[in-house]
Amino acid sequence: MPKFESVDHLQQYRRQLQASRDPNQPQVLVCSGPGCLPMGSIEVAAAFREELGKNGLNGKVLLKECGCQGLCARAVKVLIRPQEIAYQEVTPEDVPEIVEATLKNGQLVERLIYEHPLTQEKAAFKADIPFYKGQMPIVLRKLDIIDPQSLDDYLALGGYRALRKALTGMSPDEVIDAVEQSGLRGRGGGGFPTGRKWRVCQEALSDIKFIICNGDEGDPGAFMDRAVMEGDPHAVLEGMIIGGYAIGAKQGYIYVRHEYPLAVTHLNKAIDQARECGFLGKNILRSGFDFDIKISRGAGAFVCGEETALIASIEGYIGEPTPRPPYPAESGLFDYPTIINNVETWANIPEIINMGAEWFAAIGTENSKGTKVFSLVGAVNQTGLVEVPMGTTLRQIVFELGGGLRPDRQFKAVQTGGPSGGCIPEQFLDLPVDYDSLQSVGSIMGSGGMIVMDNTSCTVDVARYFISFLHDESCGKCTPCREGTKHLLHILDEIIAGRGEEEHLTLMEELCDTMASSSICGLGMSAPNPVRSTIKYFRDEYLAHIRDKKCHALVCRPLLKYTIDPETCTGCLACVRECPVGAITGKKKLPQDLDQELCVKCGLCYEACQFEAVKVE
Amino acid sequence: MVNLTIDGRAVQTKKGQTILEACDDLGIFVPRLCYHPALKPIGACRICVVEVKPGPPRPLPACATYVAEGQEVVTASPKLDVIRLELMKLVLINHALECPVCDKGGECELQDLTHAIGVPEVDLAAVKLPPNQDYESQLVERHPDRCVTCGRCIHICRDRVGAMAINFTLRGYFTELTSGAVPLDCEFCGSCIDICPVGALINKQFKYRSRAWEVTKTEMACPFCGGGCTYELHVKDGKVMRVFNGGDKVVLCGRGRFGWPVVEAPDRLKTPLIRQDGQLQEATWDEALDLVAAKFRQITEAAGLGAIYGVGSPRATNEANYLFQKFFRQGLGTNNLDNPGRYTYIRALQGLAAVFGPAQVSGVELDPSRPPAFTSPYPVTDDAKGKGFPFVLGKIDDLPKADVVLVVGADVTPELPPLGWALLEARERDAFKLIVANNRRTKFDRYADLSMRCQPGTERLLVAGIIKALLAAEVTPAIRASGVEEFKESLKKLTLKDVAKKTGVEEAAIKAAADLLAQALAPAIIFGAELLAQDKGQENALALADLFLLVGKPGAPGSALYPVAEKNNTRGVCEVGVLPDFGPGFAPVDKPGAALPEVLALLEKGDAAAPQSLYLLGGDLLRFAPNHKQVEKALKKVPFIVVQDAFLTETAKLAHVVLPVAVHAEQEGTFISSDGTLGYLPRALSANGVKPDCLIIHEIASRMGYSIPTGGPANIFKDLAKAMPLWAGLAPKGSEPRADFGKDLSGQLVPFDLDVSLPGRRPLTLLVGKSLQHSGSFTTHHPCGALTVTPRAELGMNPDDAQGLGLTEGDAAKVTSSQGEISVPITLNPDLPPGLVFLPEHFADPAANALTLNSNLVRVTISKG
Repeated sequence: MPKFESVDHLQQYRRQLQASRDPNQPQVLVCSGPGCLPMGSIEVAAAFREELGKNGLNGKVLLKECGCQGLCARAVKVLIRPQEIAYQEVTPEDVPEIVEATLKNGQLVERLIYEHPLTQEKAAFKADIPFYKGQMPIVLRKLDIIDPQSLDDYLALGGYRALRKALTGMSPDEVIDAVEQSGLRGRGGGGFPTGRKWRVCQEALSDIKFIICNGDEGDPGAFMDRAVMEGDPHAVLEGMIIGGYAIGAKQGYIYVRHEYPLAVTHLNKAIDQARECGFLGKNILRSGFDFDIKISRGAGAFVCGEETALIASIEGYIGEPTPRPPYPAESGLFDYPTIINNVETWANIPEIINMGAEWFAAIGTENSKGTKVFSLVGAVNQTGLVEVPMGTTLRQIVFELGGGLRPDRQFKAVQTGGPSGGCIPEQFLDLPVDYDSLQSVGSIMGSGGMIVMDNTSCTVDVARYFISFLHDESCGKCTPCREGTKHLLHILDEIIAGRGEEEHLTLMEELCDTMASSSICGLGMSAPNPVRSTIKYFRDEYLAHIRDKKCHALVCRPLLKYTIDPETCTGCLACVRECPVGAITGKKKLPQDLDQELCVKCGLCYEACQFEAVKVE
Repeated sequence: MVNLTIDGRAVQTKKGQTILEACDDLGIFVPRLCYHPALKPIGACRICVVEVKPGPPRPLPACATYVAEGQEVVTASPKLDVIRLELMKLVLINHALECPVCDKGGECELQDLTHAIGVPEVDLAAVKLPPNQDYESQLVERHPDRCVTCGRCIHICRDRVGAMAINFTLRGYFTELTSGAVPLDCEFCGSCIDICPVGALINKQFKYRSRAWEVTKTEMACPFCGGGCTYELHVKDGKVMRVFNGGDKVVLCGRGRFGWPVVEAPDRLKTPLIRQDGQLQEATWDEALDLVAAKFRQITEAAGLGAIYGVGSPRATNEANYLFQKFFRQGLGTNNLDNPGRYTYIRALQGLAAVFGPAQVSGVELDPSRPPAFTSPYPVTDDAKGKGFPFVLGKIDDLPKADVVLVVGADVTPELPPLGWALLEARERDAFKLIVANNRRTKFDRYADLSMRCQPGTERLLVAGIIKALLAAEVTPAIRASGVEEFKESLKKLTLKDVAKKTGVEEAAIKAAADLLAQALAPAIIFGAELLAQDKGQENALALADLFLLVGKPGAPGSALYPVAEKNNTRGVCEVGVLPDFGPGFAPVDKPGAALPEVLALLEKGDAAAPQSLYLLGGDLLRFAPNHKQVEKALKKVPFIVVQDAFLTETAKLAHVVLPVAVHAEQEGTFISSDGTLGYLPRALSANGVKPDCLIIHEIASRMGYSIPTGGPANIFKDLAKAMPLWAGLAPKGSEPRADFGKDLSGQLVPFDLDVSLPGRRPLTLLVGKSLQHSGSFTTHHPCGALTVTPRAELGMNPDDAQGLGLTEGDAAKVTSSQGEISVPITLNPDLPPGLVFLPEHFADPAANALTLNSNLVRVTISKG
């Protein structure tokens, strides 16, 4: 790669690059995103490499291992360009057929194309698949086009054009104006207006300032940032460099959790490439602006996603939040003004600069602009990463993009915003999703986790799960969070164990109020959300646990009661053989007895019975 | 000022204050648990939350929210009450409610807070955590089950003490205070104890001895080092229970906090001793004092008034030392007296005086009205002007305002702990730079921006190198300086290359140090007794005074010289005139007497001019003076020695009369700390038959028919302060003597000796220096005090050196110098560079000075055994 000495040089190189590329060249893009990688994308890619070689297609067909293609439920996914044929659940064994049929003869491999889980409608092309139809990819746009390790791929798609534009045609003020006017809000969860944050930092009097990219994605089940860092690392860098230019910072940090080794590898490679080409380092594109980026690896503490704890962690201290104000924009890393934004926020910046603030501001709702990436998981048929404009309804996301639930299940709730989000019940399915609407129903946008639950989920158990996570991840610095999470967990455990009392609900609500209003950081402040929202919308379920000692979703084991129906029992003794505690007794070919005192509610008898004689309630 | 309303009341507060500080100033009580004025806001307990408009919809912690114009603050509301009550319940769930046996009972902030908030019951419950008490650590006992996780102890240990000995382990609900899996291994300052709001950290010296409300509290100046700290002495039934420092600062060192058992030391002298038939025998006060007076009279009659030589004491009060010099000057009419500072601090004063001139004060007038007790009768007016060396000495409280500090030849914390705390405070400013130049790695190397490791004894040459680099950069002094050309000439032949070679410090580092100092807006220089105790200690001080003349900005607060006056009154004993050449206030005398080392040399030689009698006001000459053999020989030749001391020291064992004195809070008086502040020591304990120094001097004087002031320390101070315009403005507690003086400084660059060679060919260099836990020999008497942590002298040695000699930790080593030989156990210390060994000076056995000649550095050979 050349070192770009000037903007013209970059322009010239890009033109040559684009001219040298044939838009009609067949390309095989094997998804190597977080969903496909563990399902064998490396083997699939290897199979393609071998098969293409065997068929003399090397050089004619371009093979790329690209970032996440979204529909993770159907891993491993392979996208054939230029037609955009989306093959799903591809194994290495399928590869010869794809090469033979599609690449050599232009035919579809019918059995590998998309089929709607409910309607069984088929779709071969990406644009026809309902999962992709309602999406509007801005941040994820390049993920299924480029090879994340190729700067040329990024440049060919207009990469670093925004940087060029900012450095040559815009003053730092104009950059911040653009970000302000775009209406972009922080994608990490807080939703603070990005432009306003930048303005505060720009106005802070200091020769030294810092830029931080928060890649400490800790929500269970969330992998939006990971997908971006792995699949389009240069977009993050470009956003950060522009941010550095805008506020006058010379050094940036990317804080990535240690559990994301591929993200670290790709980011490191991207940083090396950017340095080599002069997008990082001294005098970037001869503009007189210096900027460099370092990677700082986190050890996986959830609280380190909180900005002050993250800063403490980079500084080498224990990752614990510090009181705000002063906010990092005034006094952050090493006590210098610091802008800290999430990966997705940074990845939006180049697009805003390229396309203009008006373009971005036209997308979304009144107070939430642009798109948001969600990791749609749980009881939906089509799990994966989706990027939709703000204001898309939950119903659209769950039932159109997500393909709905299994036919035998009913929708119960969708939990948004990661562990400290809330559960949103069916009545709000038509809610247009944005920062404020989610807040109004007791949840949060968070970094974009979206967990769909059906009637097999017990909301008390769900609340307990998230509180247990937060209890484990509470740093322990402030009283309300340290003690509060513990006691919420304790009370939920009591309820699940059948020792619940109605006063417990009041007690929990009081505790939640105290935690929300007095915790030091967002973790503690939002930790009550899972409890508050479930008590609010699913009070009946709590009461069933407390009063009737029943868990209707059949999840809370201590509340279950197994019985043997003497009418149906054949006396086959299958259950007797399975019971680990000898609670079932009776003679062969006669109905069996189940001793409730001894039963440990393990459910083995229930599974063993072929005559549905074991009942559970 | 900032205008805001608090609870509907319009108030004005200082800019930059937090809401909590503002409320405290206004007398509005806001409950708090983790906040402490000595620390930066922690923001952990959340109990101080208040409602603030404009601001976020949730309440904000008052401790971490700053006042702003137009703010509306509500400190008490039903909403806040609920939150505070709820938080208190959360804190109490896991707090071991063992108040009846907890040492903190009665002064526990959690107890008070529970009471103030009125927690009726705790309706929450959860599994309690394992208690994990630490009973093993020395002096400090830890009860994590009582901990409220406020983090105060951790912050004070890390940010104020710089020890980083304790921290939280685990996280969330399981967060636990720990020192790792091992007992505490720290500076044992005990600051964590006094800052703990509950009984999670308790003082083993105090445990189960008294309830907090049973003690009588007396605030007093610490009688150990020259740091000038004050603390509360808690006394019950005439016995010291503990030393406590609960005020705004909290930090004390281990000597101050745990050193008090010296008062109760089993080996304290209780009655006077008289030598009879070669043995020291117990005697009554009258017998002893009559004998001293009679002998003194006899000697003066036979050999002249100058035949009695006096040695003052850096431990004794200003009043005692003043009386002592008065006894000699007015009574005997001789200037034959000196003090042990001769071997260290006086060298600093002499070096500084050579460059900045003698002390001169003008424009201060005696106030005819009666000043309060222990207050100078000279008020500082606008006309007050000071000239000369006392006015380049810095105040510790100002040190954090310096922007560049050069530390030369000082392991700062053991030398003077408060200087170390001030450096830590300075470090919190971004612009602050620390340069450390020592012969070994010390605590402050960790914090240094530039760390230079020089060969032992070459510090002065290193300073010469820095000066050379400054001169090369044509730095012009901010202070009027003369003698520039001659001075330059004296350094003409010196090259940085040569300096680098001899000192072992790279040329680039020397230049970097010079650059930092040249650009500094308020540079300060700290040098220790360690540097002054070298044979050319005075030259060392001279070199640093020259350096300060070149770069110093005495107009800027903090920019000053900070020589360490190591003991509680090292500076005071000099200022009140226990010197052969200067009277009180550094007033020159007509016929200067002989200095202590000269006298010892005369005695050793058996010279006819040698004194016939020594009158020692405390101080174990045999232990602190170098060249033990010579001193012993000299002392044995003195026909009559009188020693006033609390212990039968090695020197006292050679005396003819030993008079037991009051120590610590058994007497009233004042001290001058290393930075010139006046420390007041009230009498809080009974002297139990021993007498204060003042009284003994007075009784001897009156028996000899001399009239010297009487009427107790307050009266003596009045007499003393009248003679001291230099002390204008001085008063106990928070006074800033000399700070308000207009300074009229000028100086002369004085060439200094560039020869830093250390004689002898033995392979290792021994440095005799200070240990963190001890102050002189004062702390080595009671097993429960500082001896708990550092019970004996150990020879520190680089592990490689030890390996080469076949020695391991704890082995006895035979250390031989040209002067003598001792046997001492070794301890491995990687902070010492190869070739350098370190021995603390405090212990009588082995006597470090048995090895030394005229310096604290000596070449030695070490072998096993």
